This record gives sequence, structure tokens and C-alpha cells, in this order.
Amino acid sequence: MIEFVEALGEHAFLRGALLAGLLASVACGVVGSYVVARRISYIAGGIAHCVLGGMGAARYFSVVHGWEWAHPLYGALAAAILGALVIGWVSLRLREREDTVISAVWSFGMAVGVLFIWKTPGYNEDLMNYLFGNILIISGHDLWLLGILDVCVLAMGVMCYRPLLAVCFDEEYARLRGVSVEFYYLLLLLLAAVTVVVLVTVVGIILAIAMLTLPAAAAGQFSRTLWRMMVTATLFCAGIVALGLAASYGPNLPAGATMIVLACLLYALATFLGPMVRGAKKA
Amino acid sequence: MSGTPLIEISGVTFAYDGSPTLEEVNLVLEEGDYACLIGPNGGGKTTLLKLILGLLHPQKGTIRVWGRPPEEARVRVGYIPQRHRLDPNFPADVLDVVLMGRLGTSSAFGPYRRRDKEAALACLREVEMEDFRHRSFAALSGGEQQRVLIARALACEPRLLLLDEPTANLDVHMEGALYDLLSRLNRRMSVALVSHDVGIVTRFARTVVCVNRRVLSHPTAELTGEMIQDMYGGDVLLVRHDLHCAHGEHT
Repeated sequence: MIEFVEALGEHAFLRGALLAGLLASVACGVVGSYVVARRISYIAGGIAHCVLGGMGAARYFSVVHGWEWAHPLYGALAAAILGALVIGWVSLRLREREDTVISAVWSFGMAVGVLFIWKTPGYNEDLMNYLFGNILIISGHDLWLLGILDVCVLAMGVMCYRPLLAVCFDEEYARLRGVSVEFYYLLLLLLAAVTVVVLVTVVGIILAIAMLTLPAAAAGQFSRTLWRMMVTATLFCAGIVALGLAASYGPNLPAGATMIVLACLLYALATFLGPMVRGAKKA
Repeated sequence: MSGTPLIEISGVTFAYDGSPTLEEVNLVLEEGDYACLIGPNGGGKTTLLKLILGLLHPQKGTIRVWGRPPEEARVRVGYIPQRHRLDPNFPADVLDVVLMGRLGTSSAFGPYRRRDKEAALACLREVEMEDFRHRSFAALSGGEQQRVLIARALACEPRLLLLDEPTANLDVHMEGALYDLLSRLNRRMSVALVSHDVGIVTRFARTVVCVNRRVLSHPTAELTGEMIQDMYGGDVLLVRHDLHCAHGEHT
């Protein structure tokens, strides 16, 4: 641990990684709580995985066609938003086939991504980085983008707290009170999409969904209200990121996978302790 | 507004898919009424409530609430849905839930105003749940949750309360307390509730609306066993709550 703190002082890339992780924690805590409370982690999973299509396409066009501006994160953002809109539209219109469509979007995005990466010449280390993340190669440009996305998600998530809470708790009742349920449902999916993109840079596509839901679910065990859950989840996320980075630095382990193992342990512990804590409070 | 009925349904037919759930429904309820919608499961009681709320739209016929379309009128309608529909683990405290009833009365952005909080607390006081305001909604008993949902419905300052099976899974004591509360509220607003419990009709309601694909309404005083039997299409165990025996008569 001391070794990590010393290294943090020496290496800018480590400070960048930690900063990226902490930025992601804020969006993750807020949006993850909405996702867990509304029980749409499967939808968030679909959005997360279809991101590969966008990243693969962006990489392909930048290498093969020389589109310098086509950064994989832009591709990820475009794919996530498109995936969220398709899933949202289907789930609002054709409820009974929702799960099938989510699986389709999920796999389609991944398949398209693999095809693009296959056709991109050169050594394809990228695929592993996209799938499992590599927080240590984050650039200054990535950090700026993360910061902007973070601010957008946080602003919307906090400003629309009341209608989003109402739509998550009881959609029908929210509609009766004049809340545009469709709008806020799509907004929620878009927030999830942007947050997923932020998380992909930290832990990668496959692990993003665990990072989005596990700290929030753990926080839910100890939180009476949604906003407390958000604050607790953000702290949990930040703790996991910092601890994961520190624990993986010494033995040279992949940081993303280390963080997810920690998130799973935290969730298991919270599920075990939650009922006891609640029982003790009541007594 | 005098002369305009509270609810006026004429010639309404509604089907989810295929055969109609409700057919050629005509119903008029007057302001201040306490109506009880009874009928067999799947007879269309909840569907009728949702039509009145404008959550569903009839294929045929018209529905007017205070002479207006349901979507316009429902800002003044408090609705208490079936409790089991709600997520039992949702992170919200009692005050959160009641404050949701204030949406639509002011801007939805940013934090709640002081006025909204005061109104929500007044509604909790009305249902005697003010001390529970910081408790987790999920951790409450069924009867307590039902009271909170009534407070949420009251938070929009309604002139009509619609309740869907409010006594489902409540014990007898809770049930009695709930009906007392509704009778008290009925002094200042109209009440319509769905119930599978025919017995309550004779005790509290002024109008009974029998819903089984078709709809008939009667003043409670005229309700007879034969009418109920007709509607359910068989024998029904009817407990008369208006008859009491003196102490010691049962052995």
C-alpha cells in the first residue's frame, strides 16, 4: 500500500488512473442507484456490451480510413446512446418481447465490434483493452471527456431526481401526476448509457455492468432513501477504485478485474450484513 | 359545477385483446358519493378504475369526470393502486412516497419546496402516520403502507379518491380502521373503491356498482342477495355487518 502511495507521487499515469476512477465513481454511484432501484441492470448490460460495436468501428475508421478524430470513446458513446434508444423504444412499445430485443442488441453490438476489429490491420491488443479495460493507459484527452460526461450525468441525475424517483418507484402513479414517463424512462437509459461509457474506460465493457450495479446494490442494503443510496454507492465505488488500483499495482495484476473482485466481495458482505444492521436499527 | 355529475360513463366498451372486458357500460356517480365497485375476479373492476383515470382508453363510448376528459380531470383525483404492484425493496422513506403525490402541483425540477413538505406532512397527519415519516416504506406493515399510499393520494388535494382493493391482505382490525378513515374523508371528497368483499358494501358505501363485463349500479339500501347472486353467477357467502348480536347470544 505504501509502495502504491509512493508510486502515485512519482507517476503521472497512476494519478490519471486514480482521477479517472474517482470521476467514474460519481456517475456510477448516482446512475447505478437508479438502475438498481428500477431493476433495469439487464438493460444496462445490453447497452454496455453493444458499446464494442462503436469502439470497433471507430478504431477501424481511424486506422483504415485515417479518420483521426474517430476516438474509440466517441464510438462507444454513439453506440451506447443508439443502443439505449433502441432498447428504450422497444421496451416502451413492445413490452412482451423486451428481453429478446435486449439480448439481440447486446450480441449485435459485440458481433459488429469483433468484425471491425478483425478487419483492422495491425496487432489487436485493443480488443482486450476494450473488453476488460486498462485504466493505466488513460490519456489527458480521455480525462477531459470523462469529466464532461460526469458533469452531464450528475447534473441531469440530480436535477431530475424527483421525477426520476417517481418513475422508478411507481410509473403508473407518476403518469397520473402529469410526469412524462416515456421521457424520463428514456432519460434514465441515456444516463445509464453515458455512465457505461465512463466505466468502460475504467474496467472495460464486460465488467462495466458489475461496477454499475454491485456498489449500488450493496449501498441499497444500508440506505433508507435513494439519495442516501447514491451517496453511499459513490463512496463504495471510490473505495473500490482506489483499493483496486493499490492492490493490483504491487503484484502487477489487471486493475479492472481486481476492482470487480472487490466489488463482488463488498456486495456479498453487504447482503450478509444488511439484514443484521437493519434489525439492529429497529430494535 | 353543480349539476355536472362526478363521473359519467356512456356506452363504453373496452377490450385488452379480443373479447371485451367491459361492454356497453353506462354509469353515473354524483359528487360526494361513496361508491363500492364489486364483482368477480376478472370482471373488469380495475379496468373500470383505469378507464376513469385515463390510463386506458375505451374503444367505444365516452367517459367524463366533472364533465371533462379523464386526462384533464385526474389532477384532482387521488389514486391508491394495489399495493402488491410496488417493489417491496425500493429505497424510499415514507415522506418520499407522499411527496411523489405533490408532483404536478409545482415544477418538477430541483428539490422539494417547503410548501410541498408541509402539505405532505399534513397528509401524513391525516392518516395518523406522521411519526413514521423517516421510516423506510419497504419496512412498514401492509396496513401502514396502505395509509401512506392514501396520504400520497391526498397530497394532490383531490376531490375524488379511487382505491383498488385497499383491504387486500389486511387483518380485520386494520381493515376496520381503514374504512373509518375513508368514511371520514368522504365528508369532504367523493370516494370510489374496488373490493372483492361484498360485506363492506352494506356497512359503508352509499352506492354499489356491480361490475362483471356489464355494469349495474344501485343505492346500497336496495342491494339484495339475489342481485349479488346474479352477478357472481352462483352462491356467495354474504356476511351482514349491519346485524349484530347482543353479548352472550353466541355460545
